[in-house]
Amino acid sequence: MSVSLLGNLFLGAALTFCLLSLTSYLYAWGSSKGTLAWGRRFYWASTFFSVGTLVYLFYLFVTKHYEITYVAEYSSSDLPFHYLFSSVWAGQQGSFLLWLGWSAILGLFMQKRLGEYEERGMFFYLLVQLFLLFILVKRSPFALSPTPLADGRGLNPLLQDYWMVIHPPVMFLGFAAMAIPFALAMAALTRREYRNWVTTAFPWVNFGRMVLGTAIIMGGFWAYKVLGWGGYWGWDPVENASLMPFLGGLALTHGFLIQKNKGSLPKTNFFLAITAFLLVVYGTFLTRSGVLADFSVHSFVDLGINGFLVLFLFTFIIVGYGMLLWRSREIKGPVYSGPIVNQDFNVLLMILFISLSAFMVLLGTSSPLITRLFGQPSNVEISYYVKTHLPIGIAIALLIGLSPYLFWRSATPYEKLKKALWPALTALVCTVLTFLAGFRESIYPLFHFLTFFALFSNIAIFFRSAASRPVNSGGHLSHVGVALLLAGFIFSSVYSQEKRLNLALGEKGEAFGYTLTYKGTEGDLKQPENALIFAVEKDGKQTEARPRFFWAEYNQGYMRKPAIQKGIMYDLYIAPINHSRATEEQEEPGVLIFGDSETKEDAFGYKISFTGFGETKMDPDGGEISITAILEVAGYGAHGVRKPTVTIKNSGERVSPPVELSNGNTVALIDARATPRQVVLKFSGPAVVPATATQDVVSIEISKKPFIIFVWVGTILVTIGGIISVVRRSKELPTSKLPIDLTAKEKPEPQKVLASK
Amino acid sequence: MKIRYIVALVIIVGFVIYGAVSLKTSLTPYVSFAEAKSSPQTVQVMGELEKSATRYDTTAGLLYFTLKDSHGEMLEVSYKGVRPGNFDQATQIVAIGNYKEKVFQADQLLVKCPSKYQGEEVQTYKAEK
Repeated sequence: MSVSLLGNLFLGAALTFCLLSLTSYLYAWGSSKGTLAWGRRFYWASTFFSVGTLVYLFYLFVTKHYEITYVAEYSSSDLPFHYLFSSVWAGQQGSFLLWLGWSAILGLFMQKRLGEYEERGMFFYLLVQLFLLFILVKRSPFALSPTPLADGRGLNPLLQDYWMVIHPPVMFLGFAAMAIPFALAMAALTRREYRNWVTTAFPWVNFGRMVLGTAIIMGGFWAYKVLGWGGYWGWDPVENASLMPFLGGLALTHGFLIQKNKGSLPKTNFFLAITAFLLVVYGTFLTRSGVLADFSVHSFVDLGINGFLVLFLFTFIIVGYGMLLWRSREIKGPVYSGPIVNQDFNVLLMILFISLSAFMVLLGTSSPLITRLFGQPSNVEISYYVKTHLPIGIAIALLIGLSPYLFWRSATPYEKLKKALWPALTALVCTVLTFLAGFRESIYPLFHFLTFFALFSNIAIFFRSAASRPVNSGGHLSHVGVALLLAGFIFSSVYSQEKRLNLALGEKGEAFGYTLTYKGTEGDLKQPENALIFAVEKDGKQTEARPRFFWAEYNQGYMRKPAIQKGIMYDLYIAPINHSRATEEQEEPGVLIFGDSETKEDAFGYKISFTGFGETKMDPDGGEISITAILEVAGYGAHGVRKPTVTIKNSGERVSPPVELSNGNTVALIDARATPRQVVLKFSGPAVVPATATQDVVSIEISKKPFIIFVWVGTILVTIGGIISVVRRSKELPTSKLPIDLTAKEKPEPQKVLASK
Repeated sequence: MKIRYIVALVIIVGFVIYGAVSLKTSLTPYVSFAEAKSSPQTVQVMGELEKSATRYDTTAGLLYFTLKDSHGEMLEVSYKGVRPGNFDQATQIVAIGNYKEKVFQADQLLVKCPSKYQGEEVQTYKAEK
């Protein structure tokens, strides 16, 4: 049996069992509860084949089955084994398959923990897998190559990085997890049971947003380390597509908190659970349908699955929001009461600002689609995101900073102020110190203060809470992490400094107190992972930096991987920009620029002087201008004056007829400028040979990124905090064993006075 | 009631207006060459590279090239920075910037290349300041 057929059989089996499981669960909704057990059995089988398909695809990569198009497109025989993982999810089909695999595995864990929501929850959950399977069956990763290949085409060198081995699986685990709160929300809506689903969904929401958040920063770290443009976040559609569901999940986490404690916000939580998942689907549509191809760095080629993606999106929009609208009159929670400044209102504002952030990102990312409705599609500048997120960031820093003090319900205002005193003072000292150190851009010192305050106040409450009930400290630890992240974002971007240096071999250059000496290249520019070698010196301390600069055949372009010297106060980021040899290889041969009255002794073997301009002809009607340059030519069998002309038409088009020099060599005037008087000449013919490299000069950009380490440390803390929260909310889950006692009445949820996540 | 509702509402309305205004001012519309020449704002233009007209002014570090749109119209673009590595293979170039001093000064280039194996690939290049 051919490997292609076997792979497609795996996919077909997964689809069949998925449909069988779905149908069994649907039957179990009604009275025929007996089919529930079958739903589970079929689910196991479906999972086996879904995960099996993924494993089988990996196996085909390992065994080098280049007759399979997908294998040939993303790997080659010289690719190291560990990058074969990246190959599996380098393309569209493989990443859909990865999503499916995670979704199937998560379902196994979730199935046992759904209690009374199982049959309906699993039904809605399986709909997502069904769509993924449809796409995969339509565009199978096991398609045979039309022409047999001896070797694969290799993997994009940008993806040959260990972060690309782990970042996509974490991301798709997060996407897969965001379907769980959605499925549970739908199950609850169909059951007309608007309260208990929160307990069941809570650990999954915490899990999903924690995993997504970690994945996003992992992707940022990869961009920082590999792409060499100096940042970790560029508000690119692909990045935004993962940020939006994360923000949705984060808002939902806070919404659940209020519903668990007070019973309020039931409708909001349904809306957020549905929206967070729809944002996953919408992001998938945006980044994989090719609609943003002209606007994104990561452009995906249209695979002919647009119809499916649109169907996928609209089905879930209609099912999700439709169901919520249908039930919305019945969903009621207690109305708020109490003072305006309290914990719940603080959390409510937090939900509001997180949602606003998601909305702003949604608006910006969708701008090419929105503007297309009114005319020419337009994208937004990155400044849009920065502008809208500055006030949101300030508000969130303030809310996080205040949250520990609103947390103590019993304390009097005086006691609260006393508790806030030390964190506030410490934050003030830090703000003043950073201000004196030069961090004082417009209103940012306010932002600094609020961020420091959020940091210290949450550190204080975290230690207190960790000492008494560690399992409740997750939220506080996450807030410490978020404060660090905000600090890292502000300092490393607003106060980042850049400097470009052009250094010849052996030449010294100076930037930010460092002396850099260019020592040459490691090997050839065409050699993969070729490095430029620099000696870096500061205060007598010598180190070496080796940024990578090499031609990648795969991308038909130069790769520029920076060298990063990491530090606590700042990172020194050395990114290669260009190398003279590389430029000269690409410079169009034969173009020379002549200044006023300039004589070049050896212009491709001729001695040529630019003596001035001839008559300028203007056509008053057409707006055409003809400019003639007067050149004195000698040598190589040529003598006398040549008068090449350029005609600039009204449309901006230039016509430059070549003028014969001698022996088949010609010269053409391609541009002329009056101030300073300059002409650009293009020589063609046998005398013009491509210029060879004469000098070894590199151009690099050195930047200083203050406190960027806070971003990475903050992420680690948020992740640990998230794990603690997942553990805590998992302990509150109802347990169910087959057979479920379906006659039992729902037990009222014990109200717990727990305020943190 | 409902001070808190009012507070929330004010925040939402305020932000939505602020967001819409920010969006409007940050939009960089795709325009024709003629519109680009008369527009004072930052715009995007797209065209094919007219290969023979490319030159590099080494002293100023400026790259000059000419784009040709589907109607055959031409636009000269300047870009401060080194010539992008895959410039000559470009099938299409998107330049983001504005028209000043008789040349379209690009702050950013999106160079779309026929990546050998993956259909097309777009790379972004930012100009020096």
